[in-house]
Amino acid sequence: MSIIDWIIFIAYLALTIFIGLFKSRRGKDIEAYYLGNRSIPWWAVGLSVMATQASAITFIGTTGQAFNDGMRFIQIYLPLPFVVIILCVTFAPFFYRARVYTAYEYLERRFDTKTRALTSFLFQCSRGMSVGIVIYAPSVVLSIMLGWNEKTTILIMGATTLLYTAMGGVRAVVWTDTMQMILMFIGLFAGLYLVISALPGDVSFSDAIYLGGVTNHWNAIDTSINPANQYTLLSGLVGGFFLMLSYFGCDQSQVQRYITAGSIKESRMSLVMTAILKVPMQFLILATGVFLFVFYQFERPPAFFNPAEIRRVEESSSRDAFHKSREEFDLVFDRRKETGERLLEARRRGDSVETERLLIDFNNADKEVKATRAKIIEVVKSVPGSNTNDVNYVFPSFILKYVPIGLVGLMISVIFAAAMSSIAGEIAALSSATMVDFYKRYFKPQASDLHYLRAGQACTLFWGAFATLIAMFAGGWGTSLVETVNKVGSHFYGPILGVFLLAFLVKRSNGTDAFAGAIAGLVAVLFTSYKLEISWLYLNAIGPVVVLVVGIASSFIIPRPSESRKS
Amino acid sequence: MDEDPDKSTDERIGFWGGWKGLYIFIIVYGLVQVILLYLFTLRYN
Repeated sequence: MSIIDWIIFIAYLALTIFIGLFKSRRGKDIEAYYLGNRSIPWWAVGLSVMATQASAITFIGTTGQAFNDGMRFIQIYLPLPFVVIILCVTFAPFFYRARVYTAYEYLERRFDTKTRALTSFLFQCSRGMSVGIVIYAPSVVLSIMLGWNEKTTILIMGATTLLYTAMGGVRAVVWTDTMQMILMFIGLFAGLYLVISALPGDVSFSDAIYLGGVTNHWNAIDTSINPANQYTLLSGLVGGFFLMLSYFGCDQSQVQRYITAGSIKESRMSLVMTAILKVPMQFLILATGVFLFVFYQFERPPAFFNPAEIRRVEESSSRDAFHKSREEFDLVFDRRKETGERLLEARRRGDSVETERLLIDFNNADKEVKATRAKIIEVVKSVPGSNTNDVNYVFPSFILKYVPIGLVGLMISVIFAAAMSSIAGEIAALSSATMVDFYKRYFKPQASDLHYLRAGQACTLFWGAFATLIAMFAGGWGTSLVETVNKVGSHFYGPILGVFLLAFLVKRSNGTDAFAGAIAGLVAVLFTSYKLEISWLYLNAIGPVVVLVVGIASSFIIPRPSESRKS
Repeated sequence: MDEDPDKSTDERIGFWGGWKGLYIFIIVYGLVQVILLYLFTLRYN
């Protein structure tokens, strides 16, 4: 990185700390610390909701995913506008009027203490496990970009975020999120512009759209109904609906945001803002990935995008096999590039017969490139402990090699911003759940405001330190364990949503029904996940449905006190 | 005394300017997104 890039990056870090600490000044009780005194404007809350959801991996991983797989991932987000209406009508006013600190606190008022404790515990388990990975995953990529040691990146990212989160609580988090989200929007447009402007001079925008289409990368809607197919319109609408509803409705990192708004109206407006901006934002991120794919049709990409893994292969006994596959890759790449150029020329001339013929050649050449890349991945895989997934390195690799001085610093700041906003949101949410649902509820129900404020800050420091430690050790776990941690954590979403739906929709139900439903839902999700081959998105629908069915059944089987009295 | 602070706003602004209007707008917006993406896929993919 050049000195200008470093200045931009350091300026970003300094601005983040300044905003965080500046907003930490007001408020000396837990209402200020965890709810920002319910006085934050809706647009800041809305940007904060989006910033918490958009992690660094969303930013770089989604671009890489579009590079490999096209636009299909966008289908997950399509139900969001409909989900937001449900949130505006039910979840948001219920939480807001109940004047709760955590979403799970509401469940004690509706059901009982054990339901609150179970759901809060499940949330803390899932988020506690994943928050370390939220720091670790981008740190690996950023270490390569910055030329830093992995642990240095983790420490800088963790410590900076923890500093303002622990000091200022949710107010500092929301205002830094707001700045970070604005930076992400700038980065998003800058990224798209940079990729399009990097296309060769003779490849027009229309040519790029055409090549994206003929290689099946503009596949925003997939109408197939195979349940094993990860991203389809059906899995997006069904699974995505429950995923979004559980994330925005029951995850404390989101709920904590929209209960900080000044009124129910402002709370709703912040959600509406997310509903309107989310899909266009994801479209732009994914489109950047597709244009990146087109760019690499004419510019030779690295045979494998993760340079750290290439170094490991170079030092292993698979070195010769890797070199051989890479030479083969270069050959097939040149063939595809030449065919692609001829195809575009024929298209410009309007020669449809030649275009059709060259299109078949181009697709065959593309298959050869993919087959050779698969061989390279097999070679990488042969090295023990290697990571064969380089999807997170596609966009950073482009940034480092093709982006002009100054903008590299901006793009790295954007990735840092995306990571820090998610980490801060999750640490603040974990802190509130531990402090309000357990410490204040069970250990110290009567104490001064100052005591709770200090306890809250201690909880934030605990979760921040825990997350940073997990991130430091995650590197030694191996890829499969990191993925397992993320996967197991995501299994808790559905059952938690089921409990909330039972609370809102089934008036008959009580705490025992909810508890039984939650356990059954959790077992059903874990069983389905490990025994059946279906898209993970459907798991988000299975959890709440099982909780509702078991909860309703239990409410009819176990007699209610009023019914017992009648009989 | 009306407990819902939003209700008076809804009544003052009227149906299309109030929450119901906004919800209908969001539903239409969501459906239009799906349709546009489907047409986009058909046209360019």
